[in-house]
Formats: sequence, structure tokens, C-alpha cells
Amino acid sequence: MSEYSKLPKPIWAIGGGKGGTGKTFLSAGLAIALSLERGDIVAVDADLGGPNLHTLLGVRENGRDLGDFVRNEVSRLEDVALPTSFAGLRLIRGSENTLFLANLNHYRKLKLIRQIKGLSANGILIDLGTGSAFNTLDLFLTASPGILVVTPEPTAVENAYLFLKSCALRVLKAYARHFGINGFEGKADEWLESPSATLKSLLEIVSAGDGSAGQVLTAALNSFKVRLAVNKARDKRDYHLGRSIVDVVRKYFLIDMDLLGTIPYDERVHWSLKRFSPFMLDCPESEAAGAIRSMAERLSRDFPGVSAEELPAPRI
Amino acid sequence: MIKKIEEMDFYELLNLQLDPSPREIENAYLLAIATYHRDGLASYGVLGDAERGDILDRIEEAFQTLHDPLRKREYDAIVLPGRPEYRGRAHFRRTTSRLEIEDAAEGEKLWDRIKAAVLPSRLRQGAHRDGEDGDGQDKPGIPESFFYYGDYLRKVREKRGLTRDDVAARCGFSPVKIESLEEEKFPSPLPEKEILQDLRRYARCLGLDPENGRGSPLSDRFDE
Repeated sequence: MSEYSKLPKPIWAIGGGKGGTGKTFLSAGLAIALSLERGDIVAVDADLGGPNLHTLLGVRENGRDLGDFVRNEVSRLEDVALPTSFAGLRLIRGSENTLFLANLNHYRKLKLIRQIKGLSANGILIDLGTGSAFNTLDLFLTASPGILVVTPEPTAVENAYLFLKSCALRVLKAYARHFGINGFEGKADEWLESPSATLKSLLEIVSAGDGSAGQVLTAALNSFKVRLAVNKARDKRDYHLGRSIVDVVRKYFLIDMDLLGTIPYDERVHWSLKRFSPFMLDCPESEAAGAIRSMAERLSRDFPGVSAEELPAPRI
Repeated sequence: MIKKIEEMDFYELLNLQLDPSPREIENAYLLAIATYHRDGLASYGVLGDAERGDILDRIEEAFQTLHDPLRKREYDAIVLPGRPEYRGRAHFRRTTSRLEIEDAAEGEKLWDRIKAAVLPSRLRQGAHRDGEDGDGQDKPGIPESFFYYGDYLRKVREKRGLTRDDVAARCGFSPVKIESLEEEKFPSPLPEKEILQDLRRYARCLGLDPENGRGSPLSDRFDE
């Protein structure tokens, strides 16, 4: 047990609405970088529809996976965590064969979340699938913070906002139920029909009817923290996109978002994938790998208590 | 707590730190315009035409204000003292539109005028001592247009929407005392130290910090 075990355990979840934005690529890169930064990281492949984090981490061997845990063949999630070729990084593989994983029922989902939180590690990183299904949203909301991945394309930005709105609505509805704010769900559903509905406009509608309800829900929304990663940046405008999205989200979604970083486009990512070799290992000197390492450092700094000099050495 | 757009000042609107350089203001403006432009990727699918028009108008207003040194100075005088991160800094020197008084001739500077208001006798003595021809005549009195410290406090109070009763309650003074401090007219002669203490206390109640900063008007110069 390292000194990190005594500290609050960070859980990072990587999500975003659109497929192909690089969620799994970033998850693999961050998992490796964080394992070097902090040691003893568990990466959970929770892409319940089509998991492939193991491929990007260069893990070819089959073994226990999330499906075994969900099917109750293994009682502890910890027991399906497999070692990887990286010191201090374990992987909980997603199941490729269990179709029902995409539709986890409520009980199984709660059990999964509880056990993820209970994992013994210095940090847990969850790779989420595409889309805004409730299971995906709930796993994203389990994290502190969730990391939203977007590429500089209108479709990716649009889906990222939809994902954020869906997460925020999940938070707001939970708070509305807890505080007995009547009629919120109806208003929210009606508001969702509007093509350019912002959370700001929803809260204005709620506040107009009930000022105190508006205050409670605004505070709830503020407590939802997200970090943004822009992937595949090719030019100057792409590098500015992160700051612009953060500005829009803070002003019109009232969500506390920070820019985690921007990863430049690198053709070699594709080559590494074809060679079944982790990009961070293949091209450690690339700008993209450097950007991911910087992100890992920033994420690690969010959980202070141990200075960089006191970090435990990676277990080799 | 994330602020609503309507509650943001121009610095927050453009995501600027305090004391930005002209270059930083311009860059922040360009980024904001690019963000909220109709073709901007970041606001794609988020804003309707009305909201987009509103935010672009505000961005333009923010830039026009912060880009113009005179307008920025006036704006800062109103807005910055209310910013928590600005506490502990020298408000008087950095935010008032009256800074030109520091370039005024000897005897007409801010501190001279404060002394004239609270210590008229001392000023007269100085005038006798400093008279060029030694003919015993006083130097000209303080012009009416001069900016007095009490007047400044009154303006700050009014900008913050506070009544004399409000600040009196906050400072633990009577409203009459507040009036005296603002008008710099005292019903009976008061010890100068006491007046100075009251002025300091009043300034602090308004969120100003009269002590802090180089050349602070109420600290190092009083006993010169």
C-alpha cells in the first residue's frame, strides 16, 4: 500500500458524445502517463458497446473481464484487473462477448459504480463509450472530474454539447427530486424540444416560476465539474477551440469547465494502432505524447497532498 | 460559482485578468468574436440569433471600453473595487480618474488638498513659510473645482448604490458624521488624527484600502 492510498482517490472518466474523437486513444495515453506520474492506476474499459482499450494498451492476452464481474462469475471487480506491460497500470478489460453489457440494469450498474469506487488504487480511469445512454452518463458523473473529448468538427462539438446537456439534466433532475422541486422534469422535457436550448435558458424558465428552485438548481449545475480535451488539432484555430468551448459552456451551460489541453493531430497514432503498439511507447517524443503527459500532470495536481518529489516510484 | 453573463463585468466577459496589456485585450476580443461569430465552431448549435446578437454587442462594448485608456480608467474606478481579488491593492492610484492630480503642481496635489480640507491651519502656516516674497500674504486658496478625498468617498458610495445611512450603519458612524466626512466640514474642531482615522475607517467600509500600495494617500504622506 502506497502513501496515495490514504488520500482521496481520483476517478477520471473520459467521455464525449461522438465516436472517433479519440476517447480510447486519450484513455490509453493518460492511463500510461498517470501510471508513471502516480503509480498504481486501474484503467476500466467501460465502453459497454465496443471495448478496445486493451488493444491501444497493447494487451493481447485474453483473461477475466468486466463481463465476468457483471455475470457474477467473479464477486470483486478488483479480481478482474489484469496487469499490463506498464509498471503501475492494471486494466479491467471490457467484455467483447456480453451484449447485455450495453444495457446494464439499474442494480448491476449501481454495483459496478460501487465497486469502481472501492478499487484499491492511486487513481482510476474509466474509458466510456459513444453516445449519451444513461449508463454512460452515470459512469461519467461518477468521476471527479469527467473529461470531455472533442475534435474540431461541427458534429463532434454538437454531440459534445448534447452529452453535456444530458449529463447536466441528469444532475438537475436528481437534485429536483431530492429537493422536491415540482414540475421540473416536465419543464426540462419541454425545453429540450427547442433546437438551441441552453441550460442557462432552462434555469431562467425555472427561476421565473420559483426563484429558490432556480438557485438550488444553479448551485447543482455549478457543482458539476468537467474538463475538456481537444484532440486532433491541426491549425491555429483548432488550438483556440478549447478556450472557446470552455467560454461557451461556462456562459451558456453554467457548468464549471476547464481546459485540460489540446492534442495535435499526429498521423503516427494510426500507425501505432496498426502495430498494436501503444502510441505513448512508440512516439514518446511526439508533441501529442507530450500534450497527454501534461494533461496527466494537471490531473494529478488536482489531488494534492503528495508533492512530485514524494511520488512513489513506479512498480517495475 | 459560475456567474451569469448579465452579472459579468467586462474583464470576466472577455476572460481577462486585471491589468491586461492592450495586446491581451485585443487578443481576448478577437477570440471572443471568433467564438460567438455565426460561423464559430464553438457556439455551433448553441445560440439563437437573439442571444448571439446580445453577446456580440456586449463583447464589442467591453472592447471599446477597455481598449480606450480614458474609458477604461473610468470603468475601473467603478468596477474594480468590488472585485475580491482587487482588495489589498492600491485602489486610489490605479482606478480613479483623478490620477492626473499626482502630476499637479506643488500645493495642488491630492494630498495637499486633503490637508487643506482637514488641516487648513497647517496649510496656511506652510503658505506663510513658502511665500516667495515673504510679504505675509497667503497663497491662493484651494479652487472649488478641486477633488477632495471626502468627495471621492461620496462618489464611491453613490456608485455602489449605498445611502449615507447604509454606510453609517456599516461603519458604526452617525449619518451626520458621514456627511461631515464627505463634505469635509466639521461642526467643531477635531484633532487631525481623529479625522484621519475616521476617513480611513470610512474608506475601508466602502471596500477601499487606503493604507495599501506605494504612495498611498492616507498613510506615508500624512506626517510629512
